[in-house]
Amino acid sequence: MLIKTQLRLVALLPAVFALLIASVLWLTDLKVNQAQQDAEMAAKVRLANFELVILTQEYLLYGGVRPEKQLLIRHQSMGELLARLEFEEPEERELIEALRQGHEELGSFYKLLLGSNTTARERIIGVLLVKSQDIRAKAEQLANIQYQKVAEIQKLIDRSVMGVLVLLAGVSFMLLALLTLRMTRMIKQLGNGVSQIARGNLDYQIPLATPDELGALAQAFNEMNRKLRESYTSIDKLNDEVAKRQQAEMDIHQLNAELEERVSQRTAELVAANMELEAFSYSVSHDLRAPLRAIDGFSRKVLIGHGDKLDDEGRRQLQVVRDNAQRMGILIDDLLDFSRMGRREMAWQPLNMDVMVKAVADELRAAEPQRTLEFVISPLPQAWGDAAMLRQVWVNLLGNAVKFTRLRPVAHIEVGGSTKGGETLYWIRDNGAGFDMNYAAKLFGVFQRLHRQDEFEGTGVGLAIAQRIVHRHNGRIQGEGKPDAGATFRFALPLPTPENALSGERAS
Amino acid sequence: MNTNTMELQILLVEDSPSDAELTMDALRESRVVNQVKWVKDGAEALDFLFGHGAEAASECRCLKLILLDLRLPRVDGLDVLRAVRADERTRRLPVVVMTSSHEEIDVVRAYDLGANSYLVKPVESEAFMKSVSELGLYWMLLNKLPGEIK
Repeated sequence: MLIKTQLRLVALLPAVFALLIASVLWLTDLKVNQAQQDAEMAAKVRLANFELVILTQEYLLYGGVRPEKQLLIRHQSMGELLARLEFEEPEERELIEALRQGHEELGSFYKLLLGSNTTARERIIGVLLVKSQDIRAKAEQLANIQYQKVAEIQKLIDRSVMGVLVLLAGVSFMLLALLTLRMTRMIKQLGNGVSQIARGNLDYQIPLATPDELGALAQAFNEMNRKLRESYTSIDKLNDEVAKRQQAEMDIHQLNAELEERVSQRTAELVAANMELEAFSYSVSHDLRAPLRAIDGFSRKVLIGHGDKLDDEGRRQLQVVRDNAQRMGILIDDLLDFSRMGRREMAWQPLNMDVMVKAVADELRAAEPQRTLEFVISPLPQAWGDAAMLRQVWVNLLGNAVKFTRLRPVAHIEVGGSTKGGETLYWIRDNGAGFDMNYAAKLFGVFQRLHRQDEFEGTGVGLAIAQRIVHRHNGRIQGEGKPDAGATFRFALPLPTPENALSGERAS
Repeated sequence: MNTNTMELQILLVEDSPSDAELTMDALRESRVVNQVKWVKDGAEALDFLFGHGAEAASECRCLKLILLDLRLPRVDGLDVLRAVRADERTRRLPVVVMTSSHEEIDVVRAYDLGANSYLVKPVESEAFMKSVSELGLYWMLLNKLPGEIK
């Protein structure tokens, strides 16, 4: 049963009791009224009797017809009065019976009296008076009984009301006490459960399954606890995840720090190596060339000054010395060029490749006027890079094309380009000697040559320089060919992104 | 032109004897130079130019050209150039840097210090001879110094 209902029932209790009291009062009131009416009737009987006595005495004193009649009338009305009286108590009935009998007797005495003579009258009156006295006493007794009855009823009412009130108080107290006890116990259980939850015992279930509000509250708490437990489980999982991520982040930070450390270390090493390289290049350019110049110069002096003392073979051999000294000079120069390309500062800018390629082609044509060189140059996309360096790429690639088409009656050299996926692509195709793709890996190596010196001269540095320049532009270069069927070289240069276009500098 | 000037026309500052010999051969072949003074390092060059008071070469007005190598023992070629340009007597004297160095930085420094020309000595001896003799021809015959224009 709901507590609300229980409380309502307890609250209803006084009303029930009040109703009870009211009905008791109503019932007793009826009884009191009856008793009072009866008492009044008794009083009337007594009055009638008293009037009869008065009339009798009046009759005795004055006589006459009128008192006679009145006596009879009175007697008759008293009889009617008595006839109306109805009681249930035996005592009352006896009294009534006695009164009725006395009245009868009185009646008969009146008859006697009215018919008697004077002497007899006095006797009769004496008897009459005695009878009347008796009736009066009896009527009084009856009235008293009624009054007594009223008093008793009132006392009964008092006691009943008192009793009912006491009962009400008792029952109310008992019910409320019971209710309070029960609620206190339940609230205690609830409180206990809540504090368990508060202490973090999320597995706790409040063992309260009463079908009332507190039971519902307990269920709600248990539900809340379950939800909390679920939340905590997810929070725990989240915390785990967060901890893992923090650890990962720390690891990354540490790795980054280590990496930076290593990068700066490597950078320092690279700077040192670069300085060594520069010192080396400087030495090479100064110190290695001087002896070569001496070898060549003095060989020449011998040939000119003392050539007549040598035979043809001696002169030829001295010429071999000179040729090799000169070749070594060229190799050193090329090596220095290659080295310089790696160290040069780059000046980034947009470059008109059409103009650049045409200029290089014209120079090459001018250098070999006796040959038929056919350049087919398609429109080329604008590039982003260092002008001098990219010009060197064209010089080397177109120079190669010119060189390796030497045996063709008409050298056919095609140049084209396009823009694709954030980079510009260029290609050069010739109808020259080509090369064997099996050696393609050696194509861009320093001093790597795919042709014999007596076929095509060269040091094998041109493509290495071209590759180095393209790589310094963050680009790619590749070559494909077929022996005696020409070669195609392609290179790609990234276009500037907004940032490096602004800074004007990329990796250099 | 007095005999003094005829006797001494070029100062060659060169630490390599073979380079010096080849250079002098080339100048001789061009037949424009009779007298070349060869010193083997920068200190010797400075001593020759400014060393003995009135006897110093700078006093004789007989020098028409200095051929200066850059990598020299003791006093570097660029220091010699600096000293030559700092002295009132040699301030306008033509100095041709003749070196093996291809390095851009050397070219720039040489010109910054007032070099009149910069020649990279070729390894190939015909080219070398040709370069040096043409150089001699130009600076000794075609080029005019203050006071030589009549």
